[in-house]
Amino acid sequence: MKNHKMLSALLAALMLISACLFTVPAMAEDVTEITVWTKDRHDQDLLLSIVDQFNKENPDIHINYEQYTDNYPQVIEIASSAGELPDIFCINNTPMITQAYQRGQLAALDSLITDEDKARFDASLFIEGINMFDGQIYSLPNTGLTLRLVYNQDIFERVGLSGPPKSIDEMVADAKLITEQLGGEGVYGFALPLANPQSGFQRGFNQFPLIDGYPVFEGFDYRQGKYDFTVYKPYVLALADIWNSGAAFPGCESLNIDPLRTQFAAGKIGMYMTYSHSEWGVYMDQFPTDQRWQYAQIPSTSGEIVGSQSLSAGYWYVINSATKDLEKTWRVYSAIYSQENLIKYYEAGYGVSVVPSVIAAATAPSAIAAVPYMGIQPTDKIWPVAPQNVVPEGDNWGARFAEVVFGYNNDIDGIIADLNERYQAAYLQSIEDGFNTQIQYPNLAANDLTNTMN
Amino acid sequence: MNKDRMMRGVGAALKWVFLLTLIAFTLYPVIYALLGSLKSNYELTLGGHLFPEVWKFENYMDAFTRGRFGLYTFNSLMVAGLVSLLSLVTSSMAGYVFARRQFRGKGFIMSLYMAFMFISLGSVTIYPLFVLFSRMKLTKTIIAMALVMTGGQASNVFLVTGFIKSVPKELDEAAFIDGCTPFQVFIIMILPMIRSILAVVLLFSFRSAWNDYITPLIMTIGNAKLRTLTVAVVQLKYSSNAAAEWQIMLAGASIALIPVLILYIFTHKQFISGLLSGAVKA
Amino acid sequence: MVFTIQSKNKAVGMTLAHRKARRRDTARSYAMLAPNLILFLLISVYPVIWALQYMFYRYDGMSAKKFIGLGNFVRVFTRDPQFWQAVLNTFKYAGLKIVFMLPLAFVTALLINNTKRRYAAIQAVIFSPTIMSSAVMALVFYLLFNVYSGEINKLLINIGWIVKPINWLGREMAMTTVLIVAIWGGLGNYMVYFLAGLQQISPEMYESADLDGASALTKMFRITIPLLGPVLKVILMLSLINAFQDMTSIMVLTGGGPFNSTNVMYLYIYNQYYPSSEASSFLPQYGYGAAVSVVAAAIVGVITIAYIQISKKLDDVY
Repeated sequence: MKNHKMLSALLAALMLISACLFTVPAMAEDVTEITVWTKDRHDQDLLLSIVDQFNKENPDIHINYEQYTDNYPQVIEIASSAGELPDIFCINNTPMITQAYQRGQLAALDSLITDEDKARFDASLFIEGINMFDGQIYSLPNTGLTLRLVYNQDIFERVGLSGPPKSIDEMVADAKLITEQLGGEGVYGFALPLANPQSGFQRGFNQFPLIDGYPVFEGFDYRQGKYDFTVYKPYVLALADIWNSGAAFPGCESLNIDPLRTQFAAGKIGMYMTYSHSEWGVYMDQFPTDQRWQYAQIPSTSGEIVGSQSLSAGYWYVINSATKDLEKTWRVYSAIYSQENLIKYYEAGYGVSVVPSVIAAATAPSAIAAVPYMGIQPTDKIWPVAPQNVVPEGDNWGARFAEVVFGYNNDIDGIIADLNERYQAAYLQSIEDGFNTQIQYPNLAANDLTNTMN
Repeated sequence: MNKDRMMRGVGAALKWVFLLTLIAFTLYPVIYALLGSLKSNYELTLGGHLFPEVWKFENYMDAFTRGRFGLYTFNSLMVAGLVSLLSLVTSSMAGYVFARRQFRGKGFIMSLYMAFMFISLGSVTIYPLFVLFSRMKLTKTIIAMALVMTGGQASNVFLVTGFIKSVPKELDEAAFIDGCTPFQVFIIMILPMIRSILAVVLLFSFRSAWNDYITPLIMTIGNAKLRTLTVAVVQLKYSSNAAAEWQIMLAGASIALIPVLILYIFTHKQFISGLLSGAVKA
Repeated sequence: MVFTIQSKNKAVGMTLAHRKARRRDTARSYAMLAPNLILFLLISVYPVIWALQYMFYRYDGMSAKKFIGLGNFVRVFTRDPQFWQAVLNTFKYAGLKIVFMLPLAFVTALLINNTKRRYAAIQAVIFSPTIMSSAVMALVFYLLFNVYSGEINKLLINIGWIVKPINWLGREMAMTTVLIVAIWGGLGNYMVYFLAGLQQISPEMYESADLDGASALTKMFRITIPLLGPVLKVILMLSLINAFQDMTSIMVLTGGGPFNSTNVMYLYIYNQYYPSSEASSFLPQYGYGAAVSVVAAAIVGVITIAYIQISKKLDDVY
């Protein structure tokens, strides 16, 4: 009997729930919802305030600002294949914008952007294959992004080091020294977020050949016009040395960037490499720290910068070509990109602006005063576009190099041969499928990127 | 005699050591989650104590306000409610038809149901459904998610079929002869008799919908507002402050766990007996 | 004569009416079956047909799909060591899970299978993980097993069993950790299955054995295990099929890593479709993934059939 009563009660509850289901209050008709997706967290304080202000001032529009994180590319990929992309979304990297363009998902901004607006952004910042395709503009620039070594000054001083390592050998030696002297307190010399090895290695490791003067970007050799990972051998072995000697922070193989940052903020990590734009905001707002830290140049083999680092700039947000109300979407888009907001963004230290009018109008951000290497250096350059979305069958280069770094596989030559073969095959396949072209710049030099004649 | 008693004593002691260890192993993670959700992040990462030094109930406030957990709880309730209702209605009727009715194609359909209980293409199957429902504009509502989770209900159908078969036929056959339609027979005669197994179907489908992770993860990928609790909780692992806010993760986990735990306290007998009757039939 | 003809006519008439009634009857059956059948065809059957078609294509969801015949299968069988690594991991995972979990579940069931006392509370506690979301609990375990701030390492260091923290989610230990979580989640379920079997054995069997002065061990091997045979077979099959399809908690706990060390078949397939941050590529491979899923389903199918055959053979022997 008791059973039956409970069952009826449950049933009644279910009925009630399903009744609610069909009376969920709908959004008022005259308010257009504009959805904005981002991958960024370090700038959330500013962006959320922009959104709030906009929503208050524009009763006919409601911005729905969604933050994603490490899984952002996955989210974009699935949403895009199901036709569920938001009105405005943030671009992670060049492959993402290229792919979205090739799939016809981007709205060209040429007809929307005013001449006055266009003048704010320097003509040199509109680059074919970055934010322009077939002569049309699809995204606007904000900040430039490159890579830096991040180090804890307190830890370096405690072990008697006067400054950050300039050469890769010094980096290895410093890592060992720190762990040797402070390992007992749980302080380790070096860390990389290698839970996803590829993205971990994209935080600095991929710059080693470029800095040393080899025009090879993530395996693609611009001069040969094909994939060739041979130049990476010494860099992989240098990292392997750090791990073999036990100088690296334990558990890097399952470490993501944010847990790494909390450990750095707690003074447990001597140095790591990551993007140049984010750590200031991270250690100010996200994981406040009393540790003294600095950005430094990514080390090179000789200690000198022979070539140049890659600077990524030119895109930030894009507009979905399928947006319902392009006019209103553009209003949101241009509000995010307003001169006032770009200046705030730069001044607050969320990134280093590449827009000349913004740099001219802004008072120099305290961030760059405090951590000077956050600023863009003469040796940070925008590289020509490499092949995009070359996905080989099987493990990617990051996963294979990580095998050597962690000491699970010592056959670096075999791994390089395997990568060369699979990446080149995937590249040729992508050319055949029509979403890549054969790229080759026989005379390109890593310190002078102007020579991109075929 | 004395030795015998000692042996028995040792046996009983061993038995209780074993059972208590097992109970500790089973409960520890749950207790860790529930109590941990009331600690500060600092205390959590420091570790060592079972009970919080300072009880931080504001973690839950944080989860509800900053983490939008109110919305996710609502979504989970809706989805689980809808799935339970759909499964209850559809599987009870199908179970009745399979158990009592003779018709052309029955054998084929039943073996098809049976076969699909054992064939699994994994999460592949969600993608075509996602695309299909997305074209039908249903992915903006929780209905698509609920339909996918309800699915064929093969196991529930067979649970009901088995149960009805064990009920004497004479009663409903008599009603049938009196001129009732099969549907009337089902409503008047069968439903009251199979209430206990329907309770089991209800509990099982509520549990599986409440706890499902993969389906809502994929179905809500473009609509963060439709996320269910499980998806929202696990997404915290990837969220901006994940590394610094374990307490919010545990508060979220507790919000997802507590409702089923409460349900379970009152219905564990049905859960276990439902499983038993299913197991015996199998 | 006349009578016979009449009766024949009547019989024909009956058949017509009967047929009509039967048709209506069938229609009524289908009407009641329809809600479930439609859902079943849409949610269960349609995606399988979809996959059986797309396994012959190269398709990323956006650019035009390209028919490549058996190309995807050639890739599975000749150029995909990652998948076979995942298959190997699946066997390892399923094997170890069953080997550790079933005996534990059996012993637990034996201990609490008591005619005088029901141990309902203990049953309820041990069964309780079954009702919790494996994804949510995997997240809790993820925090518990954290290398540097996790409670488990802290505990083990405090009681002095270890000096340096164990890297529970590292390559060496990840599979063990995944198994611990799997056993935690599955034990209660199988304990109840065993109890179901044990409760079917009539107490008289034991009473008469007691009269014969049989020892506990004799009773176990002469009565309990033989009589449990049929139930044991079902339990083994269920646990086998379930273990092969487990992926949710592994996905949350390790994402299949590090270095694919915990990557199992169905997680591998998931990553072909919904590339996650832990996975290698961001390009979904719907065609290839469909082919892999069919191969995986075939592997599970072959194992299930092989198991049924073997257990039949064993029946003949005994």
